[in-house]
Amino acid sequence: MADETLRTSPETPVLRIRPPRRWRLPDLAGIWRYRELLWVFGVRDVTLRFRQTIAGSVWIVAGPLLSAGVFSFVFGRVAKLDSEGIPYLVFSYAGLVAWTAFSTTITKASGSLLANANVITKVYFPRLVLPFATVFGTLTNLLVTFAMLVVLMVAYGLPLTWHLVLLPLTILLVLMLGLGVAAVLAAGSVFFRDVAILTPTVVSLLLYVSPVAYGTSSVPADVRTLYLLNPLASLVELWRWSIFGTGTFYAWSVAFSVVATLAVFTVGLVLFTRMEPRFTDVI
Amino acid sequence: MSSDLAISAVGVGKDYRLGLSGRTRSLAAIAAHRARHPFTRGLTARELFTALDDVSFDVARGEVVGVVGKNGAGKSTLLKILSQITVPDRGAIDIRGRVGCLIEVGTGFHPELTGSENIYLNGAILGMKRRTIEQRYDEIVEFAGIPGFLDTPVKRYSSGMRVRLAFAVAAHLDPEILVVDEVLSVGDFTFQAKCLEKMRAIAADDGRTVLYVSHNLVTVEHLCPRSLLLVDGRLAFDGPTEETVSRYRHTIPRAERGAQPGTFDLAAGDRSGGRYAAELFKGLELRPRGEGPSDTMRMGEPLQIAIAVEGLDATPEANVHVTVGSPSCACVFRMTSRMLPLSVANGRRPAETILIDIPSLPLTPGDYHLDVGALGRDAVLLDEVHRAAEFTVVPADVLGTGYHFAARDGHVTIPWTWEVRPAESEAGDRS
Repeated sequence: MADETLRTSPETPVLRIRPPRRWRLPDLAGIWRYRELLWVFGVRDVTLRFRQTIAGSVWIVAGPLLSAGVFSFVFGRVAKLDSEGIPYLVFSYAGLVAWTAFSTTITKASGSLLANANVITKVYFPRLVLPFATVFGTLTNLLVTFAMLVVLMVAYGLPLTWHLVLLPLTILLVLMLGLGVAAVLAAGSVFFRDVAILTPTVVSLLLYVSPVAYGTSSVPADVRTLYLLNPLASLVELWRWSIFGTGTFYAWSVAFSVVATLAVFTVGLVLFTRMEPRFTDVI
Repeated sequence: MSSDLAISAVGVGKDYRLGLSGRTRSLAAIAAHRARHPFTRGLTARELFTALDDVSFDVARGEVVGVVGKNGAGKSTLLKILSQITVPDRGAIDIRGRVGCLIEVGTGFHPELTGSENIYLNGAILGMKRRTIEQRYDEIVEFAGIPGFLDTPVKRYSSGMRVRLAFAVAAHLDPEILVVDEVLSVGDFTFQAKCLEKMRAIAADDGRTVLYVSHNLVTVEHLCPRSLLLVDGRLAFDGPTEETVSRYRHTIPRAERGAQPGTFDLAAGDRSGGRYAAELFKGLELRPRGEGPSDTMRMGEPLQIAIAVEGLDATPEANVHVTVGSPSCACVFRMTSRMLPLSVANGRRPAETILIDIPSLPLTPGDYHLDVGALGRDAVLLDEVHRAAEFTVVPADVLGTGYHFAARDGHVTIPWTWEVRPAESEAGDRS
């Protein structure tokens, strides 16, 4: 009986459980080891979204499209803001595609620990898997909304340019920024439910101080520097630039955004890891 | 760490924060607390609850070890640390081999997903590779025994089906070290027996290490040659299960059990079931073999139950009932004065003793408890004590055949005879 079934051998690695140090590096290797769970959680969220719905993926596009319609009326017709030569509907819809990727990352990832509280208290896995798994759903959304953007551009006769090569990098930065912020919010909401309540409000306000429904070009020059301290601002501009080839950003503001994004991502994950050992005890 | 050890724990301890700092807090509450206590930074000793303290033990590969102790003794905390669900504050644990934990079957089941989708989800959560799940999918489905429902969302499953599916996945997990906590408290009797059998097979046939926590001492004795006893977070004993269990019984405070084993003080009993008109029941004694009180008795022995009552004479029409229950069955059998009226000797008095005589105890080996109660006119509950007494029935050769009854044989057995004769039609022909 012994040798085939008894897989423990002297070579089996020894798992060492010790009281955790206060500050540790995020367990990225652990996420890789648990990539199957990452995948399964991701697929679960995507599958579940359309269970018992009739229209399914139509709803992904309908939200941003409706907002774009309202924005092009309010900002394009009423406030008559400049849309850099792009039809206002397409202009604001493109901004909303990037914005939606950012905001769903924040809302989904920051709620991921509380939503899976029953699993956290019963099974061990690197907890970072939960916020990271929400990226699958966000990317699916992004794919569908982006396909709609291409349809709009074809309908309006707008060409896609070589700038498109920057698109994946922009998406990556937007997601990293979102995940960095969400990691702290997710961990914080385990200890203070206030965080979970406040998050949607703050995120929806952030929409108005980002160049989503209007371009940075419409921001008065005297506050533009201050405005561009929002790391998301240049990312959205960069995103629209890689689609339309138009946009207002500066070398310093892009550099700032990239550095800020990497910093937010790293600090977010480190803080998450700092709080991680107590999740099970307080959730 | 020696290579034939599966688990080596040294000086393991864990504290929980109590009160304000332990609960899910609002920022306002924290701010208020900080404002009132501006100079206290750390936690005072009173706010810390030590769930585990200085626990050290080794488990060899292929060993099956039970963990017993009262609620709050630290059993679940220990298991959660071993399975990495939570972290220790002190000490060191080395584990050789993959740990699979069954803290609760069906963890992570999602009601909207179908049975087959949930097999993959649950498997992945428990740490199975997709390929492993695919390979063992048919086995899992067969063990669960619900072939027609795999494409149905789990929310439409009965609770029984859910448990079967969950255990089926968990049973095919194949970790080198299996950590099991009270999972058997769910499911019906046959299902529990099936789970126990499976766990025994995992340990005996595959030579895996099992750490098993349960309140059900009979299953611990059945499954584990060795057990750890935790008392208030400390390892009070580590040795043969028989001795661990006997020591465990002695850790239960006298107040809950009465002055000596087999006597129970009902004035301090559990009356949490409602508000009662009176406190009729005062004490209870179990007298097996017609001897002095004891809480352990053999199957088939005569048993006398003596219940001290006060004031029952005021409501002579009261329906007195005594219910025998077990961890898996609320009512194994009952005796009520409506079934068989109490016979009164020498007239009624304020202080009386009800004597119940059972000539031969039909209960199979296991842990049992007694609930006592009295119903007055219009079904008003006069008094009721839950778990008024707890006792253990141990095996005996009641049939004289050398057969020892166990949990699988049901809760009770009855005297019966049977014989083989020639077919009755043939017998008729002959006469």
